[in-house]
Amino acid sequence: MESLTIIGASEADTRTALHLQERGWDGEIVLIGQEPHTPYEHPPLSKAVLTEGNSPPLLSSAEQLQELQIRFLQGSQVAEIDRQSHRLRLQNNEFLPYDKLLLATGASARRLTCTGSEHTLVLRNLDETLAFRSLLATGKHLILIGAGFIGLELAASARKVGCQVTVLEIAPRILGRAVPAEVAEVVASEHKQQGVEIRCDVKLDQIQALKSGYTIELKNVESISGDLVVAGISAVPEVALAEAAGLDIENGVSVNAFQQTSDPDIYAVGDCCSFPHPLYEQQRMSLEMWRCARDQAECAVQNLLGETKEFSAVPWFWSDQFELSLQVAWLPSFAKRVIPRTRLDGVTIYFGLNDQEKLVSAAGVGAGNSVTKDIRLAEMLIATQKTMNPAELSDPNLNLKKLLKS
Amino acid sequence: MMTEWVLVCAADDIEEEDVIRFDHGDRTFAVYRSPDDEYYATDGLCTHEKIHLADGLVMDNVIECPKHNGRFDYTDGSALGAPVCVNLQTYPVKVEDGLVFISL
Ligand SMILES: Cc1cc2nc3c(=O)[nH]c(=O)nc-3n(C[C@H](O)[C@H](O)[C@H](O)COP(=O)(O)OP(=O)(O)OC[C@H]3O[C@@H](n4cnc5c(N)ncnc54)[C@H](O)[C@@H]3O)c2cc1C
Ligand code: FES
Repeated sequence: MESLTIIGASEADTRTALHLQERGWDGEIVLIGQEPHTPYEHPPLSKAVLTEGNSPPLLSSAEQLQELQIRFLQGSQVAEIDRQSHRLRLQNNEFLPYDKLLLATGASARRLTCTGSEHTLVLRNLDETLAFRSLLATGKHLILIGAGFIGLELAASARKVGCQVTVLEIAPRILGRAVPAEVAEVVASEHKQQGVEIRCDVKLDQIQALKSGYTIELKNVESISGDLVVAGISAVPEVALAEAAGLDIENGVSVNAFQQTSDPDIYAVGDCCSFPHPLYEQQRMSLEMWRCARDQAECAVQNLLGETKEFSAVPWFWSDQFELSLQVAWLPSFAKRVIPRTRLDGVTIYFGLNDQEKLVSAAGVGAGNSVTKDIRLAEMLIATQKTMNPAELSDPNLNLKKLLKS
Repeated sequence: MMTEWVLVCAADDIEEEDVIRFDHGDRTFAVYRSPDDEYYATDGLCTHEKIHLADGLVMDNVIECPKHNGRFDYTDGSALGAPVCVNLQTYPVKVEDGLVFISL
């Protein structure tokens, strides 16, 4: 009976533990998480947890974990992986032997480096979110640095609870290369309409603490003052443990197509890993996407159970801002040209084709779940790697399902 | 008790292998047309979280929830695996003179 030890107790990790149990793994499963909480969902942190004030849904309850005989070490940090003797050292200097190890340490917020950057808040976990929520109040002026997905979600949530919000972005437009310019434009105009001020093309000089609040000095333009400063400037894979243990690192803990690291007894999944993608010329990527973390966890489970399963799911991402929901089947940066499909209800889906006219991405934004069906079909079309006819893709009267079946 | 047949829409209002949302009183339903031109109806909200299934994708006799891709067989309401584990309630459907009715 082999034991499996999982480091990190969140999306990818908890799913793996539950999955293995369901599939009849007969060895011990140990789940170690440094946060003082029962595993919970992360995406609602920047959304409903701020606007509705509720707690995020749990991934499993303490009772459920107990029932499944999963040993859960809550609030326990792993300090070192000793590969030679197959054991872990915890922060409290306890040692824990392992047979197989799964790393799901996630990613942490990238920090600003300018003078005064210590005054900025970041938001990646529940405690940071609760701290941030307690500071939000009607009329407060929040300055957000970085117009990526999390930054814009925070902007929308803060605005919804009555804050004045200014977003500062260093690039010429919001959301960078993650979505086509047209989609970014729809999102930007919704923010504007809701009263969020977005300033692009600005460069930070320094952040100064005032008696109350902060001033952000910008290069070339007037400085700006507010009550709170938050940075949402992307995330960095949490690789410290793996690196110290001598595992291969390439912009994340490097895994092969089976989610296995350079040590065959150690797997890695989710935001902490980088992996080769078969649909994108084996290009190595590291993603911070909820469904990808779950899919990789499932893939690792199958391999741990002795099956041979390659990870090949089409990366997919969503973001909710105000009443809009944006979805992307990746990766728009691989597209050589963009084909718009404007539906009869006015919503446009943007398809990305590569040099060989194969579909490599699809993105759309609309109210509620209005783009879900098309993006889901696009995902399936991407997976087929068929050559597409641009005229057919752009014709709203032609059912995408027909293209899939043809 | 007499069954109450409620008019949903014209048969052609639902595309083949697709679904529409139908609200009646304070309830909401999903009404499907299968690839072989049969009509079905289920509760409108996913049993995982309360998400409208009509925004999801129909493939053959399966509806996939738009939120977390939970799948149901809409012909009998059965949940096809995690994250959905509770079946959907189904309702009888009839088509008469090109109109679709469900029995509540
Ligand atoms: C605010 C926010 C909003 C998001 N919104 C979306 C969205 O709308 N759509 C989307 O697709 N994705 C979204 N994501 C991304 C998504 O949540 C992640 O892709 C997903 O959580 C990754 O799961 P993971 O298990 O790899 O890592 P995480 O969920 O980051 O979990 C890693 C866990 O490991 C713990 N850990 C790290 N090191 C150690 C150690 N040494 N010892 C013990 N424990 C350790 C960490 O504390 C953490 O709890 C969002 C993320 C955040 C933070
Ligand atoms: S809400 Fe339907 S699967 Fe989660």
